[in-house]
Order: sequence, then C-alpha cells, then structure tokens
Amino acid sequence: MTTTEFETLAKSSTASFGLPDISFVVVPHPLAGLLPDAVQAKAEKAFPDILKAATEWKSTGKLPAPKPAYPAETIKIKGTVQDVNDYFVKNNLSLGVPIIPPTKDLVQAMLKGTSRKPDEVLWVVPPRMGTLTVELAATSAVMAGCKPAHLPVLLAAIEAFKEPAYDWQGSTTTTHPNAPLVIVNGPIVKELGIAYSTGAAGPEHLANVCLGHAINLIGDVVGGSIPPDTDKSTLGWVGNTIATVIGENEDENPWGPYHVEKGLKKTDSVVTVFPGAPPTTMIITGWTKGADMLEAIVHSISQAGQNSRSFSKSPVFLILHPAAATVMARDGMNKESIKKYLWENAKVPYHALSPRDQPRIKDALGQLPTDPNTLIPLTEKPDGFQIVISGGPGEHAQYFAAFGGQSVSKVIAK
Amino acid sequence: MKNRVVLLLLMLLLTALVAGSGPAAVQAQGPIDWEVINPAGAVRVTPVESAPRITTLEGKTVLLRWNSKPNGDKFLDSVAKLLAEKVKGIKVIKLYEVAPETGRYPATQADIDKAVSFKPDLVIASQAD
Repeated sequence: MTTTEFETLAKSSTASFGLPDISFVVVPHPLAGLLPDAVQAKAEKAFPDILKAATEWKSTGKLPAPKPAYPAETIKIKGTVQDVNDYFVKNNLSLGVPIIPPTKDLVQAMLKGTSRKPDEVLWVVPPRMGTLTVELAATSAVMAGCKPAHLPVLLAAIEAFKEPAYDWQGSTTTTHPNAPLVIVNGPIVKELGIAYSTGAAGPEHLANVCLGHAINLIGDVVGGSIPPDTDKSTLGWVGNTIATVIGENEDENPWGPYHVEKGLKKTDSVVTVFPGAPPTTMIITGWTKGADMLEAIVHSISQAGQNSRSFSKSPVFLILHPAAATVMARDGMNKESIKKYLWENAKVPYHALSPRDQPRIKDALGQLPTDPNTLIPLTEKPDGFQIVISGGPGEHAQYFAAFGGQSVSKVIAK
Repeated sequence: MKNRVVLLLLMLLLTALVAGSGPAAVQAQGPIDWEVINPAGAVRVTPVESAPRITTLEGKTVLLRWNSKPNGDKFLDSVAKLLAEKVKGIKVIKLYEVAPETGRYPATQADIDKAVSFKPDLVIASQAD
C-alpha cells in the first residue's frame, strides 16, 4: 500500500530492487496527520482493492533489457552551447546549472587524472540503478568544470557514497532535505587548492564547487534521484545542487586532523562523506571561556525538529571555526571532553519529541519517561558528535544534523 | 620619442587584429554538430524472482509490515481487523508488534530475514507518509 504522492517512488524502488512491478494499492495522500477515524475510513475504502491485489494480481512488467555500460552512448546535437544545455536540462541530464558539454575529447583529457581504467564499474547508483563507470565519473567531472587533478577526490567520494552505511538510496529519495557534506583532509587539500579557510563552503573555490556539482550530477543523472517523482525532498535546499565540499583547516586545528582521529595517517589524503541536513549557524561571540562557548553550542543544536534526535544512531557534525577551537583547547578541552559535554547537555524535552521516537527512547531508557520534561540526548553515544575544524577568522560555527546513515571516510588514491 | 610612436603603432595594429577576430569568434559560437557523452549510464538491474502468487486468502498466513511512517500502523491495524472479520481461517501477523525493531526504512536484510522467518504466504506492506 502506498499513497498517491509516493506511487512513482514506490514503483521506481521496485525496479531498483530487481522486480519489474509489484502489486500496489494506492490510497489518496496523505496518511500522516490524519485522526484515527480518517485512517480507518481510508483502510475500509481500500480493503476491496487489497483483497483483489492479494489474490488476483499478475505481473505484466518487464525489466529493461541490459545494455553495455562501456563505452557510454553518445548524443548528437546540432546547435550552440546553449542548445546543448537546453537538451541536457530537458532530458534530466543536468541539474539546471549550466554544464560544459562532455565531448569525447574533454572526457579523455579528464581521464588523465586517474590511472583507473575507463571501463571499470564503480557503482550501480540507486534508485535508477545507472551504471557508473570511471568514464562516466569523468564525464560528470567535465560537465561540472573540474580539472583532471580533481578526479581522484571524486572517485574516492564515490567509493564512500556506495557504502551501505551511508544509505544513498534513502538519503536521495527521502522527504528530508539532506545533501552530501564532503570533508577533505591531508596533503591533497593544499595541492588542489581545496578551500578550508574563509568561506570554504561558499562560492569562488573551483575545486570545492566543481566537486560538489559533479557529485550531485552523479546522484541525479546516473542515480536518477529527481524531484518530484523519485527525490521526494519536501522543500529541498541548494546543497542538492552543489554539495558542500570543504577542506579541514588542519593548520589551525589544535587537536590534530580529523582523519588521524579516524585512524588514518597524517600523510594520507582522505575524503569523508556524510548525508547532512542544511546547517545551523551558531554565533559564538563575546565569551572568553571555552566552557561558555560550548554552552552556546549546546543551546543552538538542541533542536526537536532534526532527524538526529532521541538517541540517534547517526552522527552529527560540528564544524568549528578556528577561533573557538583555539580558546577551547587553551582551556584544556579536547575532542573527547567536548563530545561528552555535548552528549550530556544537548538534549530535547520528551514532550517536544515526535511520538515516532518512542520505540528508540524506550529501548535506550528501558521505559518511556513519565515526566514530559525528561531531557533526551540527541545521539546514541558521545562519539556521535563529530568535530571538524574549518573556516577562517570570525565567530561562526556550523552544525550539520543527520538525515540518517553514517559518515564514511576513504583514502584518496592518486 | 620615435620609439614611442612605433610602440603606439604596434599597439594600434594589435588592437585592429584582435577586433578583426571578433566576427570569426562569434561565428564559432553558432550552431555546430556536437557529439557528447550521455552521462546517465546504462541501467543495470539484477532480476529477482518473486514468490508465487496466491489465489485465496483462506487459511493463509498474512504478514503486515510497517516502515514506521506516520499512521501506516493504524492503517494496517484496520486492515488486520477487516481480514480477521472477513476471511476464514486467516492468520494475521503484525510484524511491527512482534518484531518492532523491523519498523524502519529502508528495511535491512535482517528485517527481511525476520519477516521470512514467520513463513508468510503474503506480505502486505505500508509505505510512505
């Protein structure tokens, strides 16, 4: 059973799991928000169809005939650059942001950025189950304006996205407005000029912007996550167009690089990906003590409306600016103590939390709270708080709550 | 002074040459034949064989699966009640009550294995919001 608004997503998901079709009973949207009588009335009205679907339905669908993944098909267009762009937009081959037409020559030049073979299949990208070869990763990189030197970062990010822990299919089809948060560490940050200081998550930084664009091209074009049928994001956000790519400001990180915390070598170049919500900004100003700064952060992130709440198993990312990190470190704090403080203090009162959270809360506490003011932690454990230092001078930190899923780190092979 | 005049003349000549290249440049932006790579990639679906269909619900085991979306459980509760009332010998299992940990999306392989362990003849799942 599905509702009218989700019929197309349900059908496309069926295909992505290997079935040509499945027996659906479609009821008028919505179910959420209805009072019990209204839900019961919808069930009663649908019941004859449910009986019919259960005993009479026969599959008539066919899966698409397989085609070779390499070399990729080409498209012939007569016209201007504008005409090529119009064709790509009209056929869901771009995101609406102008692209560089991916001619064979340009893609061949891009492939010089890697020693991997162009016919290597990197990933079958859900929900469309498009076959992403190295050639097609290079094609998206060309379209996004990347340089060959950027390609290894993109390839490592792809290896991270495809890990089941990231939950690519869920994150790209959900109603939640998440988008990839991509953090780059190690020597490659400076080698490629990946921005990590002032305005790192903003415009004018070629490597950051083109990689963010290429990642979302792969998601929407190869993966086919397209609103309104398969990307169900209620409002969406611009991170779905250009994903957030930042370098860590390792020079001003008093606690050592993020990837070293994850057990990798300082000399490794690493990409970390995470299905992050639109960030919350926090002004950390006027205080001279790290403890006061931390308290401001606690009250900025204790939000009932985030997906990562009520003992969430997903991590959340605190992108701390260097000035705050410096003061906190001066006052004897380290990442472990900050995580512990945030876990113990960043909480939401039980009465403000969704009824859907009750099973999780009951699991964690053994029983549901009797006091509606009981404070419930955001994450399952203190290490759910991930701390990265990025940005330049100033007094603004950012907090990326989770859609769900996990963060995944991969070493960038050159 | 003479050198300055020569330099000025050279600059004027260069400017004229650049200006002269204008129409050609504009022409290059006109319609041309493009051959570009289709970035979408071939669809690769691994076919899955679906379970044989049943033709009656009488005496069968029906498992109801909820993915935790709001009111999906209430909808299935009503379906369970109607099935019990109208179908002889039917056994209805509410997976979301007997194994509440399976109420998530996407379903994990463990959730699927749990559902299969009840040996249902049919699964009715409630999706979406």
